[in-house]
Amino acid sequence: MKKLVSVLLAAIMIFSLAACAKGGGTETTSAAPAQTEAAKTENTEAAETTVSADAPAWEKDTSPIDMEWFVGASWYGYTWGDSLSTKHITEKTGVNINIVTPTGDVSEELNLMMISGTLPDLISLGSWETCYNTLYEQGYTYALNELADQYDPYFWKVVDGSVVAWHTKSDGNLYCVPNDAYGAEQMAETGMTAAVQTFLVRKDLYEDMGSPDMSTPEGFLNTLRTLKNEYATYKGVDITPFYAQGGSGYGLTSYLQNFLAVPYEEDGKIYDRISNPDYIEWLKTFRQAYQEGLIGIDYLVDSDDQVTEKSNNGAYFCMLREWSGMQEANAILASSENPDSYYIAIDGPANSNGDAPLIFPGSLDGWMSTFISKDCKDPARAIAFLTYMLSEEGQKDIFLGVEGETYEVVDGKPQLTDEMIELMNSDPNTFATQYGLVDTYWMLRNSVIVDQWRPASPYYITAMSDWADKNAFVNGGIYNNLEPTGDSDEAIAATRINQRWQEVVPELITAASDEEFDKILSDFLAARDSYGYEKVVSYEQNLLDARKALFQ
Amino acid sequence: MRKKLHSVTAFDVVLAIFMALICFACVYPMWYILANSLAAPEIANRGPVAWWPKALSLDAYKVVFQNEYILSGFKIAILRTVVATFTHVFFTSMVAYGMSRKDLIGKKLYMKIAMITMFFNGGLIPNFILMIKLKLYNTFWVYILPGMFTFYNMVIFMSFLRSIPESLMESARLDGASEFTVYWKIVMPNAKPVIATIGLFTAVYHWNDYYQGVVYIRDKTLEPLQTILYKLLAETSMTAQQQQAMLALGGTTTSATVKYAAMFVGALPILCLYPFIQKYLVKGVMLGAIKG
Amino acid sequence: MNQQKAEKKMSNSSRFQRGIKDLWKQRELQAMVWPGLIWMAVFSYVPLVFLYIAFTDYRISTPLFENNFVGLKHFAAFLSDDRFWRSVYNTLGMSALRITLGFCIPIFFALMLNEIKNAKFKRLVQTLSYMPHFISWAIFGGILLTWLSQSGIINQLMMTLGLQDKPILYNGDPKKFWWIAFLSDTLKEMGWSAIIYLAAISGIDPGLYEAAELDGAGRWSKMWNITIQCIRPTIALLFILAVSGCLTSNFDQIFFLSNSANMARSETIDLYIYNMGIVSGRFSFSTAVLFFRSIIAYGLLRLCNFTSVKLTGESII
Repeated sequence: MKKLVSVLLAAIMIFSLAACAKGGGTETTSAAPAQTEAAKTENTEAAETTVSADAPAWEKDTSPIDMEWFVGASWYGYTWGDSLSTKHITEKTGVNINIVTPTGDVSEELNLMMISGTLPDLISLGSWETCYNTLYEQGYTYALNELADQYDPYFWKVVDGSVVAWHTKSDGNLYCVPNDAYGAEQMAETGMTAAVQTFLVRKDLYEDMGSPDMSTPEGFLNTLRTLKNEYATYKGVDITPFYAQGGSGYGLTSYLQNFLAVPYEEDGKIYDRISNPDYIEWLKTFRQAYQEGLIGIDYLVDSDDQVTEKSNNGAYFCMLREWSGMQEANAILASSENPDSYYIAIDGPANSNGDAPLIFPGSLDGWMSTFISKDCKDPARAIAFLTYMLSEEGQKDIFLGVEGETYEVVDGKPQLTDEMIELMNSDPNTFATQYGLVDTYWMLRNSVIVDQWRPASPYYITAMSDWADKNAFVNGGIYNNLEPTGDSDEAIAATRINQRWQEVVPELITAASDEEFDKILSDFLAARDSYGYEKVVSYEQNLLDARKALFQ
Repeated sequence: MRKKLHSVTAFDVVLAIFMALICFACVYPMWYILANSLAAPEIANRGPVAWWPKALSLDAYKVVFQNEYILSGFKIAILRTVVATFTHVFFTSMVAYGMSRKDLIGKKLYMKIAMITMFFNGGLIPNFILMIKLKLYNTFWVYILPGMFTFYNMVIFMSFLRSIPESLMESARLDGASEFTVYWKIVMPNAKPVIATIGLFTAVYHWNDYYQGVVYIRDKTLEPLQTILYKLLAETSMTAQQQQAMLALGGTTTSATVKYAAMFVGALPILCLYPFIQKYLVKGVMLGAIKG
Repeated sequence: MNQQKAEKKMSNSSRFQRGIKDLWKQRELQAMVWPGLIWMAVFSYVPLVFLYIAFTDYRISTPLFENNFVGLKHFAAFLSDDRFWRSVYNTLGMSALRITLGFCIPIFFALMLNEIKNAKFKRLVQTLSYMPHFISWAIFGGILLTWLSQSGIINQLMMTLGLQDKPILYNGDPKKFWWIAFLSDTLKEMGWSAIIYLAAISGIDPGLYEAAELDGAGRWSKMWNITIQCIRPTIALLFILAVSGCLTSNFDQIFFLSNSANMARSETIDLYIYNMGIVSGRFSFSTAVLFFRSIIAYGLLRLCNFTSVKLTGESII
């Protein structure tokens, strides 16, 4: 009897559980904002009396407080509090940070935190994450402008006006601040850009070949023919002729289009970059090269490990590749038995007019953006901390550390001590974990400020980066991320088109003839229309017009 | 002696060669991982080695064992594997025994109910909400309770239990044994091969699973080894695009060796488990019970 | 007439009473099954309520039942997408290999293992054969790609053996993908999958073999007439379970081995859900595809079992 009763009891329990689980989503999500609402009003009274735009708010309250900071990068491995820079900042501001990183997918983990009402205080993530829009559209984060007005008007002094304009959403609120945001004017002024797109060749091999011109289809093919006939193995390495970063979706699409100076718009209308004759001619050039056995399609197939292996051995001849990903390889090659085997940037594929390339320069979008979540216990301190980190003082503290200890001022210009630079170059890992300077904590890095303090790069880096800076299309930032994202109809159409295109590129390159190539391409263009290409274009057009309006 | 020699046929020789080839194919991947985890950085930089690196280094293992949570990870992983395996085998086999009985009233309905659980699931979000509601979120029991039962293992149990002679149980019942006693004293001892098999499957699943630790655990000291190793793996596999972060710092350590070392550290303990379970799979354990 | 009705009524109520009585009689047995049912209700059935989002435009911040009901919109979206049907085709193609050849190999391996006379060698083979199972696909996939590359060991081996005259980019050819997926999975899981058959074989009464030997049965005859016959129920069960899983693929494996060049043959339903649903944060759409697949898989299992009942008079599950 006892057993039966307990069984019945258990059964009843289940049904009640079922009932509460059904309401689960509601309770947890609605509870969180309500709680923080209360916290907000509480803090208002305390803060309002002392609010002032002349001094940063963090100076007024340096009592110890713990905050959680989500960094949306599973590969980010540094912690807060062990390194010199972060210790210093915690002592100064009282804010102790616990850095949390996702173990797997950023959006998956943030979605669950949203559901359970356990979002960290600060959240940094890239705009390409699917939950980026959810965070502010569905009310999980504070409007920074409101927090700033209420608690720390000094915020407005440390953020750039054009950055604010760029990141203000259609409801008039600013929800996040970016790092690494580059404005066109500032790039033109300083000559420093975030341009990374380059066409790289292996220096010794290229020079042995007589530094041939590779900017025209004929020059490109002829160089590859010479390579195949005379340099198939070079200094003991089997040479892989060509690499395109990101395979068909990037290296052979927008990246190549930038080199060919394919415009983004024509007479104010969004331009169909795929149908551009120069671009098609170059794709046919790659097809020709493939047919002759001059290049393969290994760059579409190889895993990251294999690409790294080939790069570190200097096995690639030429690459459409961002130089930032080649720093380690070039360092290895420059110190190898063939010190001239590192990669240098040269003029890459160009259009039939020989126009200068439109290298993407970086933009006001920046790289990752930081939010303050509504689950934050003390939004006043959070905005004050954010303001501090964004200010020149905060940037100096996190990038250069402590004056006299890790940096000194020479001729009025602060610079890292020689020991620090030495350590950074010889043992970057210890440098990062013990001192945590330079780019260790990049979440709120303001490139405009820190680039002036940045130690000079070695020759094997500048051999790549100088070209990119020189050829950056400084007004090109406005075209960044025009594509719709999320789960709207336009975004789904764009996703389908892109994913289809990624499959079509290998088909085009491996096509048996130019006729077959044309057939595949026209089939794709037809399919693209059926996926809703028009919707995508009109979305991009609206966005572009809105952006232009912003800067008039 | 003569008889033994005589009994080695051509087939045995072919079989031995065949099996040796299979062994090689199966061992080589593990060997490859071990060899590359031990490669010195200057060798590892140039790509993986096929047999054995010319210069050795334990740096990768240092990186793995320097992780502050590695010990608690081991502890949780062992505890979780042991507890989860025992509860799963006990619980699932008990239900399976009940379900395998032909005279069970409602059997057909129960089976239908159970079958649905194998095919339909609500997905991550409702399970997550459920764990919070049941107060299992961020506790050790989140590894145990949701994994106590699977339909798949239940039907495997049931199919093995069918081969136990009915007469054994009948005689026990005549002696006045309760159903639970029959299950515990008669059925379980006679089902050692399947218990060992399911136990092994479950133990290996729990040892290898990192996902529960990712989703349902926030307290790092409650994360099992594989979650910690997975995280380590993610940290060391920075792709080119992500290196944007490290404009001046360049790459970190040679990621590949750490990846292989983590893999090896994670797999070794459970690899050692098998020989102990194996004896239940090789011997015919049923025999004694039937004859006795 | 009335009497009959009354009798019927009587029998109805008495049948109910008898049912209760019978249930009470086997209360010990029921008490062993019910914890399982309760577990299922809590951990499997409660979350199923959430499948409702397949019929809505789900937003995370909105309570479940307050989301916009959109009917079969998401089902129509993928059922009318030829890419979805391509992924069904690929999944079925790979499953066909897995269910036929891939299903027989572990059985064959277990039988061969059973034929090894030297106990030590047998143990060694068995222990070594399941090693690859412990290598996660994230790592194994990476190693495999290295081996399959143009300078990898597979090309070297094939060229040494004279089977091909120049390196082939194995993983860039869609036509080869199913085989790559199948063979790599076989290498990784063969020894592991054989364990269950070994367990079944170890349960066979050695007396059967002794009796057969007395009758003069040879090695093959014993293998066929005793071993295979005795493990037949296990084979049948696992076969049915394998068939019902034919719309599922190993996501990790496919994810790490696929690329834009072989996508035409490598995108399975799981990868489709990932590419078209999860990447864009489309909860409702992903759930709809999963739901649809579950229904088909469940139907398949019922159909298999039904066929088995019709053919052999025995329910396998």
